[in-house]
Amino acid sequence: MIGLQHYLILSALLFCIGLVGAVAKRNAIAVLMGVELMLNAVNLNLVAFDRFGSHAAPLGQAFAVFIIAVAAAEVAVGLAIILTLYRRRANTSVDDLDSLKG
Amino acid sequence: MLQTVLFYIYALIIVVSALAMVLSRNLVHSALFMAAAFLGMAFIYLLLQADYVAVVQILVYVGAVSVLFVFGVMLTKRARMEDTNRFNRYGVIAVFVGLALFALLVRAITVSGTVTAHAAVAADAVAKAAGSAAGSDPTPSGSAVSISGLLLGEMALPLEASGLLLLAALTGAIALGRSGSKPS
Repeated sequence: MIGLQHYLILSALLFCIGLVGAVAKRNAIAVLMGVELMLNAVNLNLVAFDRFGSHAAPLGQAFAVFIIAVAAAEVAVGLAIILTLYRRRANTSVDDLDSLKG
Repeated sequence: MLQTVLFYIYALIIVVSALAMVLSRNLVHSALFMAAAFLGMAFIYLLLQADYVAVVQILVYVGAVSVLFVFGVMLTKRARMEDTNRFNRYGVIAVFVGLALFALLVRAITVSGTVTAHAAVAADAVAKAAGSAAGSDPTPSGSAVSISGLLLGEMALPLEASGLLLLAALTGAIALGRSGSKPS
């Protein structure tokens, strides 16, 4: 019998894998992929709570749809920033983007 | 019982794809594994009876976001693709932090087990009652009916706001892409 806990643990595992990808990668595109995986884990949490909760209206699914929309906007802007960076510096490594460092 | 087997198959696909996405040293392989993980998530949503979210997941993530990432990889091309996706110097610390956070979350989830067990029993009772009620009604009912009523009724204003956000984000992306062509 698959309960809420199974989905929550799967979601926690995905979130942690995404966190490692977002923190430990050198390429900015890979960092963005890790962030997307974390957003997906949050969506899984919302939909699972919606399925096992007692609320009649699918509020969790509605929140998941909004998160998907915001994530799509984030990917579009993030990739545009990365492309602009690549055009200026021929490099997408986040370790080299330290021009704000004093 | 079928649901249990399907859950573990999909969970295995998702976790293996996600790990391969993070550990792969080739950025193109990472993008493909990311698409596979998103597709597995859509099947998990179907198991959770959220068919509308599953379809949106396939349309937006597998269809649009993955293609956008592949475009991003292609446009920031290197001479050789093999070594484009390395770990930075915080790799060991990041893996440690990820494992510690996962252990903490699993502990929190398993400790609160009694509450979720009650919730699952209640949800099953609700589903059973709904099933017996729907037995006399031959029209098929998915989650799209109730979620569209919610989105266009109670949440109409947030829905319009998210549309405005998407418009602003796409305009911003176009503006960024244009101004980058001639550095000032």
